[in-house]
Amino acid sequence: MIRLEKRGKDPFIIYGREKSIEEQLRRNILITTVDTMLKWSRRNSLWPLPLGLACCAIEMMGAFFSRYDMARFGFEVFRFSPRQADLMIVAGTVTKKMAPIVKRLYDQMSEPKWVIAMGACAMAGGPYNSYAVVQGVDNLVPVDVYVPGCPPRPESLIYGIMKLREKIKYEREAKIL
Amino acid sequence: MIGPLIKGLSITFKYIFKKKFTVQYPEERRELPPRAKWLHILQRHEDGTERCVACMLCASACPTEAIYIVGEENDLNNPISHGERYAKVWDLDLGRCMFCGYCVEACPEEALAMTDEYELAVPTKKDLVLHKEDLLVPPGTPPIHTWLGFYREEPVEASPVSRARELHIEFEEYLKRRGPKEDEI
Repeated sequence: MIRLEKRGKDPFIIYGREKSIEEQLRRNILITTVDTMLKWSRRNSLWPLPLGLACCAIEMMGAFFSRYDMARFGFEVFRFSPRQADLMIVAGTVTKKMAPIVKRLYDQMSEPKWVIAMGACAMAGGPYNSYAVVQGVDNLVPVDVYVPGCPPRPESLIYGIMKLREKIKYEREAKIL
Repeated sequence: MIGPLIKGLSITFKYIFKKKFTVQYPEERRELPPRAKWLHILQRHEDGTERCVACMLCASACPTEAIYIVGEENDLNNPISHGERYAKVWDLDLGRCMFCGYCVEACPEEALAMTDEYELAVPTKKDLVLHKEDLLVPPGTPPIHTWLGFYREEPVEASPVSRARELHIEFEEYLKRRGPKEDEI
């Protein structure tokens, strides 16, 4: 260890400090927990499974194309295979005929997985209070973020995904499975 | 082979010098049109009292039954609204609302208005129901005129009592000024 010396009139310049091993370690090595690392990597590369069931899917597509480029945040690619996706965006009316398929797609996704209910229909049935429509996709799968709108703007969806990022960031512990 | 390749890539190359198409959303926002229909607000008079008189017109106009109101009689010594009643509970279920604006059109008191606040995502279903406390603007907020707002040229002045009757007269005057439409004759 190099002895710290105080030279000159300026008390803020401490000579020899930069060369010390402690300082080099402090500057070049990041110390963190596995949980923080996992959460950081997960929230910055959410690959969505688009489940476009109605008109909300159009706004979802709008959010992913070049005007509101969601690849800026690392929500890089639409994964049409549920096994490669982390995030399911349920956009549109979930009819009772579609319900088992939604459930199966959710089950086929690998852990950890998150769900966004986009638009009034997916959140609570919306205007369709009828025998044919599931009153909210949370009857089938656990939902993390609700994005209101009929349909929501692309910005609203991006804001919802930012909320999900915060949610992943402040999870109590990263799910390791 | 090289010719078409250069021709095709020249289009790609041109876009380097063009203005960027992407909106950098959280920092930079697109300006919404002035009649954008997003989150509702409950407005106030200039003296700080509430505009809503619990007439239930918005709740009955709502196609999805997203609005729930409980009205109560005003205390005459310390009135909360200008009418006979005021809304004790005014709940809006964003899970049902489809932002059609029929409630705003139905409101005779200009109590309801829609803003351009579209960032509404919430983590739980309970938070989707917005209460009166969330929607009511603080006193002194400049009003948004909605009723016949597209036709009115001059700003509306404050009135000591309910404006419903006054607005009706104004509408009749407007109809006279405009004259009958062809299909109404």
